[in-house]
Amino acid sequence: MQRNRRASAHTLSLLNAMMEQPRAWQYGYELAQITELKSGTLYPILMRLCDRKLLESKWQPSSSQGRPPRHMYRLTANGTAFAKEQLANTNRSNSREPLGRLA
Amino acid sequence: MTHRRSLAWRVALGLAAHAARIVPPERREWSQAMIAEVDHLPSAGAAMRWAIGCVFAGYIERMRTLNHPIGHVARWVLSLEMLICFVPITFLFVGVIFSAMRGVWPPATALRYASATLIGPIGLVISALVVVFRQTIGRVTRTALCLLAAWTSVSYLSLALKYAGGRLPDRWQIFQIFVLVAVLPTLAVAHLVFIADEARTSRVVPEPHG
Repeated sequence: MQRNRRASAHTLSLLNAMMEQPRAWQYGYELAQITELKSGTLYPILMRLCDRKLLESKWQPSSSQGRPPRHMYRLTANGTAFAKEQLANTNRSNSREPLGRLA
Repeated sequence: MTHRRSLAWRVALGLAAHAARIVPPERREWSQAMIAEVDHLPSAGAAMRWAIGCVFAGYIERMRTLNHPIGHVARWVLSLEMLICFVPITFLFVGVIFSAMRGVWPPATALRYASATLIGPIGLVISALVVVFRQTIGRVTRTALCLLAAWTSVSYLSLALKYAGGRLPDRWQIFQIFVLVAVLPTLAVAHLVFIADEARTSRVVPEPHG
């Protein structure tokens, strides 16, 4: 039987940010600004989530002329369920332990 | 957009290009995604910080590919590997115990030698469980194995350094013994932990690292 292990604090931070607008496409720099994660931390998490089909990605042409297209991300239905589960688990454990991982 | 002509901007682009070269081929799209983002950043400083992160991400992904197995190894080959790695130090452990029983060393020294060779019999038993009987080992066991292997390596390294000042043939002998009783068991432990991790992740959804 498969089970989900507890996500890391950085992953939870990203999931939390994406759950603000679960159906909106967001680009990497925007997510990095919201979560305050460095690109070196953010992208490996995005890759892992995409590998697990929890995120979907697409290329979107840039609105500014001469700029390259941007890679956009949003949660899939499975990703939304996963994020809800992980964030709920964290909230439960935070209510039990005053010094939770996201505190 | 004057920052696009600055030195920092060009360095950032150079770093991003380096990141694109080091990522494994299956992650090529992701390196393009990270690099494309550089062109949308508001300042050369932000671009530089972003590009440094891209390089880190690139190396992380490159390191991860080292964890991917190349094909499958037959269990008899693994068994042979474990025997080669653990049997010599197990003999040494038995020798140490017999010598200790005969009172060759003071108890503290005997205890130190015994603990430094304990990885032999324990490694043999655990490798038999994992490789032959297909058991999985938990985090505590894996940690204990790693600590024992580290202790063995440190103990024999300190001994090797102590006697390394001698004649060249002696040094060569010390090196051979070091490989046999410290390097091989440590490599076998690393392989065992890898096998155990593989077995565990094949049954559990992998964790996105952050």
